[in-house]
Amino acid sequence: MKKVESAVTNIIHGRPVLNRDALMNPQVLDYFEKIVPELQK
Amino acid sequence: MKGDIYLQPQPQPQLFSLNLFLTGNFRGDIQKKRSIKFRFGGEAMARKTSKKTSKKSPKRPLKKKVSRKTLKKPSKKLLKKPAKKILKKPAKRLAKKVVKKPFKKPVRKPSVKPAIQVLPKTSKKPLWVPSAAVVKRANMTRFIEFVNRRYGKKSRSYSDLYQWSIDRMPDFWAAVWDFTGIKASRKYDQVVEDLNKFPGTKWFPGARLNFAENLLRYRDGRLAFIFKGETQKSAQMTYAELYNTVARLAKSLREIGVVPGDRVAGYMPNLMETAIAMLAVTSIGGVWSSCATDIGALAALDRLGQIEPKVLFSVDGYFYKAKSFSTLGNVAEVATAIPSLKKVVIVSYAGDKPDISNIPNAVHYEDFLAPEKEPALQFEQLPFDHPVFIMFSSGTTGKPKCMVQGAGGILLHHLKELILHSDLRREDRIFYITTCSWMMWNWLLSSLGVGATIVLYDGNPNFPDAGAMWKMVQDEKITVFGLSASYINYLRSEGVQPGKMYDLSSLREISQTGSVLSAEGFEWVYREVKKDLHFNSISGGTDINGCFALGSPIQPVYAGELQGPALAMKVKAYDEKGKPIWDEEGELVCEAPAPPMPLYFWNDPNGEKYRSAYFEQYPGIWRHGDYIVMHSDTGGITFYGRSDAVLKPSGVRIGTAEIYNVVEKIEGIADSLAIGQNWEGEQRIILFVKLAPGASLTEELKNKIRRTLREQASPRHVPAIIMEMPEAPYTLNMKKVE
Repeated sequence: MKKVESAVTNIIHGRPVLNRDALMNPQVLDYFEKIVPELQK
Repeated sequence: MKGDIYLQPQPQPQLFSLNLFLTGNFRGDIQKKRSIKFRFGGEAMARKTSKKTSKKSPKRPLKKKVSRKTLKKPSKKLLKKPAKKILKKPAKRLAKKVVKKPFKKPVRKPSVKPAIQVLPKTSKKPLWVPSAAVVKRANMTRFIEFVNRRYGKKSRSYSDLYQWSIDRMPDFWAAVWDFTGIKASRKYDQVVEDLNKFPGTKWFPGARLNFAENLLRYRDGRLAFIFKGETQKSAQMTYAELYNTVARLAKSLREIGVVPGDRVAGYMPNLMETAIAMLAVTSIGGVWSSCATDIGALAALDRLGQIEPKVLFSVDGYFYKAKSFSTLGNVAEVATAIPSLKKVVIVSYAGDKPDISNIPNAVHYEDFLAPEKEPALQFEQLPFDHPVFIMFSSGTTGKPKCMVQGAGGILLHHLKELILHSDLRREDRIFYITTCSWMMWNWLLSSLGVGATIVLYDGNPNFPDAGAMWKMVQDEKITVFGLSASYINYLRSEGVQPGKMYDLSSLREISQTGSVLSAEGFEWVYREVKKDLHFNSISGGTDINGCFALGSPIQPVYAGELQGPALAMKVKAYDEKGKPIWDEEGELVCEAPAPPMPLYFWNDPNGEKYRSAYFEQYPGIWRHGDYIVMHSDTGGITFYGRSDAVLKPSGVRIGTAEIYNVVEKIEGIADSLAIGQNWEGEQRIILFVKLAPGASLTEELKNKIRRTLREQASPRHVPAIIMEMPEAPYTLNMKKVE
């Protein structure tokens, strides 16, 4: 089981996450999508 | 650059004269007292055990960068005297015990060829040094002797052997073939057709063999399997029973038309039946592919659906944390969506022959199994590169890639790792926390070829408590226990002390993989589990169903380091320009082909996906995607995470594990995730932390994180922004470990 940094990196750079089904906990990506604006400052 | 140091002779420490094995040894010249001391212990022990043994450093750079010629001169001069002195004392001591041959020979030899006699120059303290007895009886030692006899070599250590294995790859693999007793109805014409064709190397052309036949060499009353479920379900099976059951199942599979090359899939818990199905399928020459029932129907379809299987093995349900989960709904969904399926075989595990009428072409396992007690088992004789498994990539960058692996390559590679690197033998009881989604399941099952007893476990490894697996080690007298870094980290966070709680006297090896384990994790094992065991940290990939780097039972273990590159795997760390580097972080590459590498990817007719997965960055060289340091002093390798996650603040490359190793030790932090954000033309590090229960991300805690990273890593490791996260995203495959 490995951390998937690339999924969060993609979200933060506004790129699509290619395959949510490959994650054990895809729902956690919603959180990272929400906080993107906070990382633009 | 490291080699240079060896060229400058330094005054010899006094200790030198005490140590026979340092003489004739170039290494002595460059060592400091302190490092010699501990090394002496280990080396001396190793020496005692084998007349031929000697030390040579696992060090590659020396060989690479310093020619023998350059080395010869200074060494002769330097070593003349001590060689004499040393001959006396220890030779006597040793002669009494083990050494039968006159000592002269081995002592003189090194002074002739000092260039290869360099021991690790390190002030690192080993966590474990194998005892003389362990080294003496190790399969690795026997293999070294085997190779020396056959090829007239004088290898005396793992690093000697490793060097030979990459210099003489065809000889090495031929030696493994014989040493592991591969059963083949037709021997190969040559070991390898074109070693320079990478990818595309053809191994062992002409050979005819069967994968399952090589795992079912034994047919006696010894236990092949001990199965444990967390619900107290428990079962056993002898090798004779296994053989006969495989024969019955294979007969049924042939009767419904399964032929060589047909895919058969498992959507199964970690049961004996899962293993039996794999063996029956591969005995026919079918291609096996599996994923565990803890993944949902869509994820299972994403994988198994791609390969168009003819038969699917599944189950009525499974147990997790004492709850029963039905899988029949998922199985129906998967089976309906795969039109190629002729038969769906359902094992009763959670219940007793439940209604399966809503699953197309379904039959109960008991009814499917041929009724004869001992039908003949016919092992289809197939080429070395006949496909045996289809494995799946994690799928984080798109649909999981389907990696097709060859029977002979996987067999030979597994047996090499199990017999040599894990020292496996018949009397062992080997256990791995895994599911059939993970390649460690395939790897574990190859232990059958050694005749060992495999312990299978299905369920949550921390049920009913975090001591559960250790209790099983105690009760079942497990000798080799395989686990993941995240499992160790969980035990550490829970304060579990397995060594105090259970009798672990049977345990001789812990095999660890899954993700990067910090140096503290290594230390924890020796402190809280057991002082005297081989902690075999291994790393490779699903891609090769095995390892690029792992342990050697005849070498010391250093904290945070895998003991070295795997035999015949030409592993290097490359810098950004594609130059090999030591003692600095770089990209893990493999410069030469190896039998376990995938034959091809499914649905990749031009080999495009295959090439882009490994060979895009450096043509003709396998780039694996891990970020590592190869240590020139110990020969060990430290992993720093995926190279696609490498951070580059101000252009300096940092492996994410460097940050995790520091941050996750801090009280209040349960998990962390570091990413690089492109920001104003550069990259800045964003660190997300998952807090432990009760903790909150105060300014104070943030400061502590920054300070600790600055002190224990470097100012460059300090993130620009620290934020909270509910949890980090994880890949599917090892869900059950958490």
